[in-house]
Amino acid sequence: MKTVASTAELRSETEAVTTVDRGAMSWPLAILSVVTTALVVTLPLGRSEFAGIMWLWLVALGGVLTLNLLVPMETWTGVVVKWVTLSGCLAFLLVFPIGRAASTLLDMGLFAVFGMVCVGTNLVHGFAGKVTLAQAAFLGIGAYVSVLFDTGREIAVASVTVTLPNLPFLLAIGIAGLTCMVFSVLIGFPALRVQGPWLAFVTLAFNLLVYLVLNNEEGLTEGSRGIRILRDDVTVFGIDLASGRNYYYFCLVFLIAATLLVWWIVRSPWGRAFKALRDNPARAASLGVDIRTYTLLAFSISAGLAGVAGALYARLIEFVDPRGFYIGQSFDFFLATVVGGLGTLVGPFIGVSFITILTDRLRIAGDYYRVWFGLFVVVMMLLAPKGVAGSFNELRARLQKRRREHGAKET
Amino acid sequence: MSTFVQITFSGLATGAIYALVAVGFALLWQTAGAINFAHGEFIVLPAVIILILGEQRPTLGVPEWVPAVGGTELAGPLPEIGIIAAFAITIPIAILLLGYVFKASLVDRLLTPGGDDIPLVIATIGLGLVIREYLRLEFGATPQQFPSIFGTEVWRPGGVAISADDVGILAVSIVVILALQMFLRRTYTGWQMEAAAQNPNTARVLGIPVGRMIFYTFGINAVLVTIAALLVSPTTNARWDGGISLGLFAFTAAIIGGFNQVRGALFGGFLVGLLQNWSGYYLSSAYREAIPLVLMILVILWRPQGLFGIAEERTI
Repeated sequence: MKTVASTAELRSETEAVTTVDRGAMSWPLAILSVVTTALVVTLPLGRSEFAGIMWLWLVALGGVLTLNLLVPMETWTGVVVKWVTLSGCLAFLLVFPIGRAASTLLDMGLFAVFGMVCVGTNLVHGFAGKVTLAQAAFLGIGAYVSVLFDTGREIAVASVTVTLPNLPFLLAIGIAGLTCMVFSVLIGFPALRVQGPWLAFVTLAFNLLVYLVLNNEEGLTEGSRGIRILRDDVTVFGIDLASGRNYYYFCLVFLIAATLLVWWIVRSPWGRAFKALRDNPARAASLGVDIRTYTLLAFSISAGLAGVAGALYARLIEFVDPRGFYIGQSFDFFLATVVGGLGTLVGPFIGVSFITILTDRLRIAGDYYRVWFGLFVVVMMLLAPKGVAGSFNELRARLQKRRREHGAKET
Repeated sequence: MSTFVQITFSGLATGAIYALVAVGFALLWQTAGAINFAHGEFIVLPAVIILILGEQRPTLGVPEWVPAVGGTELAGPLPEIGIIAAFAITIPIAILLLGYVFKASLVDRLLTPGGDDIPLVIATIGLGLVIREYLRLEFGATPQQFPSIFGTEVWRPGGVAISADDVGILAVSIVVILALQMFLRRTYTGWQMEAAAQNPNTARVLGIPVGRMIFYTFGINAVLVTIAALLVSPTTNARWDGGISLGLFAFTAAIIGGFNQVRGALFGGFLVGLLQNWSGYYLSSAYREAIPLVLMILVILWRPQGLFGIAEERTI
């Protein structure tokens, strides 16, 4: 394992030095990039309370990234800056929802729930290097499983009627996560044999299959009518989750736990194996990294996170229907993760604010935000394929190199 | 028995359209190594253009004071020209937009030789989102009826109901596919394209303009999707989000048949069409889309190169 780690590090070193020059930066592209970025960043302003908060959040994260860019990480100041800014971000998420309208709190909850999904996607794509487009399916499975298990519903599948137990909410969340992990192993075991785009299509196919089942098994899911499910009787450890703010904090706890989990995985020997895998699968395999098990592990952890998120999502919007788990939603999660920055811990937090703004603004008729977001993705792939946070990392590596060279010259 | 013949026939017609789209998909992969996640939207876009040009009499932004040229008033709405003429006008537009612009602005920039193909995948997912959402906003969220160029007649030879639309679709698709095969196999340009696809470096040494050959593939693909748009839209209607499932099934066809073979994509297209119709009638109409997807997952499990494909050795 030690060798793997060091080669992975070596690889990331060389990668940072030989940054791929994407060549011709033409005028139309430059103009397009400026216009789309400006629109995507400024359109949310002054539209709704939530969009305003998200805008501030993006600005704050931008500030944090810039600060970390300017202060060298190796020094003590760098470490202090890093931790102070991180706690600042956490404080932002804790303080801002206080005294907000119910609709804003709902959207903040969506931010936390979708954030969890993106954190999982980031683990699979950013760290293990596999494209997955089935996150909405896992979100859906999680949502329906939790709804089925904590309301004591009667289900009928193929003329067999079963009354399900009425389990506590936390247990239902756990079951939702575990069910998704089981499904992910079932689909991932065959599917992870194929690479890149093929895997993307297989996961898409899985997503459509799940959607069809959710839509057609009316005895199980009520089909397209959806299930209305209220939150007013949910308490966890004696805390009443009926109020929007309490529930948002509840979701936030899960989001932070998910982030810490991924952070821990990335730091552990597993994570190093993941990185080795992403950077060069063949070399990782030759060094004895069991590619399949590790990728399957990443895949199932991300599915589990999406499942837990699904359980939270069902109670957040107090209604589940199959349309929320269609392929388009998977695309959104995927694009959000990519735009935020693959393989970085901040990335999902940047990306998810875009898609929650999208969901928020979908309620406004004739809104062009999604078109601009799509263009923003395209332009980003052309100019900064590593996403927002990834580009900051790249810049920092370049600055570090310059500093090092500068230092070498002086001595 | 007559029901079976009927279902099989309309399955073949659906399959023919999938085959057309899947062949374009496979060609792009073979020659340029490009995978297009906006492929379904590439069918919806020409359909909408045909519909707007042919039936909705769009207004060009020509001011009133511009004099009439050759008896036609340039200002004001365009004359209604009918679907076929609109189709003819759409083909060059499609070649320009979906062929040239797509290749020059995205594929050429994102596909570096020996590089990663994921950035292009991401960018085309983004592109699909742009096209879908733009159409939803500009064209409306309700599906628009699209007239069939073959009429709505239904013939009943021997108790089997066969619609003129299905016959027309099948005939046109077979002619197009045969013409394409002739072009690829019998003409000098076709050989050059084949050479450029198989080994770009050697082809370049032999003096074949590889770049132009790759552009031809994009052009052919644009023509194929436009034809597919003309054929498929009467059944699916022109709708902003129709591209997601169309693209997914074209891909399913390609992967079942074998991605690196044109005949594999053809076979896959027909198989997917037939499976959809058979399972829709004999098993469950709710799950008619599910059977091809399950088959695709099985194919990937047992034979990742596809039923007709040849296993590729990928250099690392």
